[in-house]
Amino acid sequence: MNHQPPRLAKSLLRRFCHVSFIEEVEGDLDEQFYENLERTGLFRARIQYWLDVSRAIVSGNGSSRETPSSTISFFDALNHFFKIFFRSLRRSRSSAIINVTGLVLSLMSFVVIWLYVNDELMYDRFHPDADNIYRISLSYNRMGDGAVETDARAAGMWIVKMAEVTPGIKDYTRFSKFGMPGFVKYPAKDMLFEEAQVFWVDSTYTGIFSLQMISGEAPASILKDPAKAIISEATAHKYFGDEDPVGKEIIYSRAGMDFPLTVAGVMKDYPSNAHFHPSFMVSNIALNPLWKRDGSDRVNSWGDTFTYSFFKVEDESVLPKATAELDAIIKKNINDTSRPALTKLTDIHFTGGRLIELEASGDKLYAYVSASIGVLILIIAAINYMNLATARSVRRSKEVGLRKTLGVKKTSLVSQFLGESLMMMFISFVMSLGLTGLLLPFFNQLTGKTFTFLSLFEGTTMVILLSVIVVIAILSGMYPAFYLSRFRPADVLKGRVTTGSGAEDFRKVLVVFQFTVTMMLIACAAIIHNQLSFMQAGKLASNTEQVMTIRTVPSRTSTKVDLFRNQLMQNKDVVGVSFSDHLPRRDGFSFITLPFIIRSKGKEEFMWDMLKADENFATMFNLDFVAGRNFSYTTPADTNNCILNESAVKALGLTPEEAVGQEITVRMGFEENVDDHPYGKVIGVVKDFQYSSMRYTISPMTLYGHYASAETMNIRLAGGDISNMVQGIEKVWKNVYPSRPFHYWFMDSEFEKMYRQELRMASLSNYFTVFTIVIACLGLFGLAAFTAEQKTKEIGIRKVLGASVGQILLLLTNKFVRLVLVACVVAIPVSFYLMNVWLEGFAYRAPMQWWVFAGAGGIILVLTYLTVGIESFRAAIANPVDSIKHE
Amino acid sequence: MKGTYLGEFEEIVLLATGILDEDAYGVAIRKEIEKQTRRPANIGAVHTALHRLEEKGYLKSRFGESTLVRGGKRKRIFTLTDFGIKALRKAQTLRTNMWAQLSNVIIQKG
Repeated sequence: MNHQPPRLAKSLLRRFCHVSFIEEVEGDLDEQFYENLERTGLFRARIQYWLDVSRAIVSGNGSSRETPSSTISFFDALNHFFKIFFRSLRRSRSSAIINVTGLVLSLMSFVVIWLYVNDELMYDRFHPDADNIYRISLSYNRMGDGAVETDARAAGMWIVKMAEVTPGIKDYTRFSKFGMPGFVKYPAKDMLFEEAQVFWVDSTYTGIFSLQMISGEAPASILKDPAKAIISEATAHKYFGDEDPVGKEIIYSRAGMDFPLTVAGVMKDYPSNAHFHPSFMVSNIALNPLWKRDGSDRVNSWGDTFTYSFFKVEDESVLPKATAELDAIIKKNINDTSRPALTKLTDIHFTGGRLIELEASGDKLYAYVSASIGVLILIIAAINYMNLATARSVRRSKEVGLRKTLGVKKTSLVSQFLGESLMMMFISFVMSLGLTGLLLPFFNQLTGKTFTFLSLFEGTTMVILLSVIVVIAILSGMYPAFYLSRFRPADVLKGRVTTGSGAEDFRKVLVVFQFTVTMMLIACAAIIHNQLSFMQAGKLASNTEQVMTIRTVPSRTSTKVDLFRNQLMQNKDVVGVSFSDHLPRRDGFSFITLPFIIRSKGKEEFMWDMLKADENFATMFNLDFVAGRNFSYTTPADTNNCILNESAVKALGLTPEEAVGQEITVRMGFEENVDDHPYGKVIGVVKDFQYSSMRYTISPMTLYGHYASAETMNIRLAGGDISNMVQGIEKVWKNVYPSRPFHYWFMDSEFEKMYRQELRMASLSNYFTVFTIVIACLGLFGLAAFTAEQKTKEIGIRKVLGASVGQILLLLTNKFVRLVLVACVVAIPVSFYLMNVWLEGFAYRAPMQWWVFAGAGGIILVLTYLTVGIESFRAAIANPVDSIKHE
Repeated sequence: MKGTYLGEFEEIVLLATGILDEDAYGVAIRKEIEKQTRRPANIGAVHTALHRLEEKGYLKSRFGESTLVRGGKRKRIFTLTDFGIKALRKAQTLRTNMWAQLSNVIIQKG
C-alpha cells in the first residue's frame, strides 16, 4: 500500500475535528480511503477523502461528545487514591499520629457521651405509649414560710374517682412502696434480706407499664392474687441462684407481721433508664391485714398520699378536665391550698424536687451539658485536622502543582483531599470504637449505666454516629481541600508558594476557639469541684465520717433500745452513740413533714420537718444552742419535749428566749382530736444545721425527744479496723435483738448519695476536660512543629547573626502565647456566666473565686509553653549550618 | 428536550447498527446501508447521524480494536440501547397501524 490519504486533509481534520471524535473518524476515513482506492482509483479516492473530511469538520462533529468516556477505570482511580493517601501519611508521620490520636480520643469521648445522653433522654420510654402516661402528685404550700412543696404521691382514691368522672382516661394504675425497707425471708435456705424495692401494685399494672416475663404465669393473674409475687431476674438470682424460682415460698415481714408469698413469675429487670426498679411486685390487697389492723386503708384512702398513681390518656386534650376534677377532689378531701401536679411519665426523671420520689431524679441540663462537651471535643479535634492540613499545604503544594499541570481537574483534587479526611476519620472511628469497648466497664462504673459493646449497634446509634463522622469529615476536610486545590501550578512549581496570610489568620482564629473551650472546661470543672466539696463540707456532713448508722427497732418504750445503747457503750471502739431519724432527711426513709400545733398560736398547724433525736445527738453533730437546754436522759418528760431550730423560731415570730417554754404538739395521725393530744414543751433552740441536701434551704424543723421510736442509731467509731468493729457491734445487736436482721451503712456515703448526679457530673467533666486539654495540646504541638520547620532558615540565620537560644524560643512561643491569652479573655466571662446559671440550682453556693479563673489560665499557659517549647527548643538548638547549607 | 422523532435515514442507521451487532462502526454501517438500500451513503452523513443518535440516547458506544488499515486508530463500536429499540418499535407500530387503516382498494391498486 503505497498510497496514503492526502496529508493536508488529514492535518486539517486533526486540527478541526473535536478531540472526542478524532480517533474514530480518522480511522473510519482511512479505512474508507483504502476501500475507495481499490474500487475507484487513487484520484477519486482522494477527492472523496477531501469531501469526507470537510463534511466531518463542518457537520456536528465539531463539538464535544456529551459524556467523554473516562479512560481511567473506577478501580484504578481508587487504587491511585489510596496510594497517594498512604504516601502522604508516611511522609508526614508525626502530624498523622497527632491527628489520629486526637481524633481517636475525641471520637471515643463523643461515642461514650452519645451513649450516655441518649440513654438519659430515653428515660422511661420503654413503656408502651409512654407519651400518654401521667403521674398525679400533690402540690401544697408549706406551713410557715409558704414555700411550694410537691409530694410525688397521691391518695389512692383520687385517681379512681377522677377516672370515673373524666372521659378519655383509658387506664390507670397505682402502686405503693414503703420508704423504710421491709424484710424478705426465704425459709428453705434460711436467707433473710432487707428489701427496699417491694412494690404493692394494682392488678391493672400491665395496662400502663411494660412488664416482660421470663417465666411463670401471666402477670395480670399473679397481681390479682395476694398470695403470689413477681420477682425480678436479679432478685431471683440473689435468692435462688440457678434454681427455678417459680413456686418457691418466701415471707415478707414488716411491723412484726408476716406475709407468706409464692413466687409465681420472674420479670426482666428494668433498664437503668427507668425511674423505678421493682425487685418484688405483689398485689396491694396482700397488705390489707396490715391496714385493717389500725382500721385505715392506706391504699384506698382519700387523704393519705401513699400511692404513686399513673393514668393513660387518649390525647392531651383530656388533661385540663382531669386536672380540674382532681383539683375539686383534693380541695374536698385535704384543704383549699393543695392542688394536683401532673407529670408526664417521660419527664419524671427530669423533674427534681419532688418529695418521696422513687429514685433520685436527674437533670436535663446535665444531659445537654454532656452533649455540648461531646460536640466541642469533636470540634476541637476537627480543628486540629484543619490546622495541620492547611499548615502542611506547603509540602503538598508541589504535588498539587504537578497534578494540575498533568491535567488533573480541580474537582478531582478536591475529592482527593476530602477523601483523605474521610479516610482519616474512618480509621480513627474504628480505632475509637475498639477503645470505647475496652473502656466501657469503667465508664459504666462512673455513670451507673449498663452499656455493653453491643449497645453501640442498637437502634439508630450507628447510623447517627456514622453520619456525624461523615459531616465532621466533610466540614474539616472542606477548607484544606479547597485551599489546596486553588494553588496555581505555575507559582507552585516555581517555588513561589505562599501560605497566604488569610490561611494563617484563619488558623489563629481556630486556635483561639480551641483554647477558649479548653479554658472554659477547666474553669467549670474547678467550680463544680469547688461546689461539691463545699456541699460535702456542710456542717452536719463534715461530722459524718466514721459515723456508722444502724437501723433500729422503733418502739414506744425505751427499755430495749436503752439496753442496746448501754451494751454498745461498753465497746471500746464506740466513741459515741445517738438515736435519730434517718439522715439526711427528705431523700431518705419516710414521712417527715408533720403538722405542729403551738398552743399559744391557737389551732394553726405548722408543717415542719421532724427529726427524732436523743441527748447525744447535739454533741455528736456539734449543734450550737442559742437558748434553752439539750434533752436529758434523766428527765423522762423530755421524750415529749422538743428543740426548735432558728428557722422555726423565726417562722413563729418569736425570739429564741421567748420560744423556750412554748407548749407544742405534733399531729401524727389524720383523724385524731387535737385537744386530746398531750402537749410537750420547747426546751431549747439550736442554730440551723444542714440536715438535708444543700439544694434546699434549711426549713423550720424540730428535734423531737421520743428517741425510742427513732428510725436509726448513729455510732461514731474510733479509727482503725472498721470491719472488725462492725462485727463487734453486730454481736451486741444479736444479743439484744436475736431475731432481727442487722442492717448498717455509713453516713458519709448516705450524704454522698444525695449528690450522686453532681458527683457523676464532676468526675465525667474531669475526664473530659483532661481529654480536651490533651487534644488541644496535640494540635498546638503540631502547629508549633510546623512553624519551627517553616522558620528553619530564619532561625539558622538569626543564630549565625548571634541570637541566643532563649531569644529564638521567645520568637517561636510568643505567637502562640498571645493566642492563648486572647482565648483566656474570651473564656473567663463565658464560663463565669455558665457557672452562675448552674449554681442557681443550689440554695447554698460556694463563692466563685477569682483564682479559679487565674488558675485555669495559668494551667493553659504552662501547657502552651511546654508543648510549644519542646518543639521550639529542638529548632532553637539545631546547628545553623545544617539549616542553611542547602542554599 | 430533543424530539423523539426518528427520521428515515436515522431509522435506517439504527436498523443497520442493530443488524451488525458487535461489528457496528462507521464504515461497516455505511456499507450495510448501501447493501440494504442500494443507495450510496456518505460516511460523513453516517457519522453525523450516529453522533446525533447517541446524543438522543438511542445508541451507546465504546472503543473497539484498532487495525492496520485504519492507521492504528481504534473503531468506535455502536450498540442499540433499550431506548433505541423502543424507538424503532414505535416507528414500526406506527407504520403497521397506518397500513391497517388503508382501504383494500388502495392496497390492491399497488
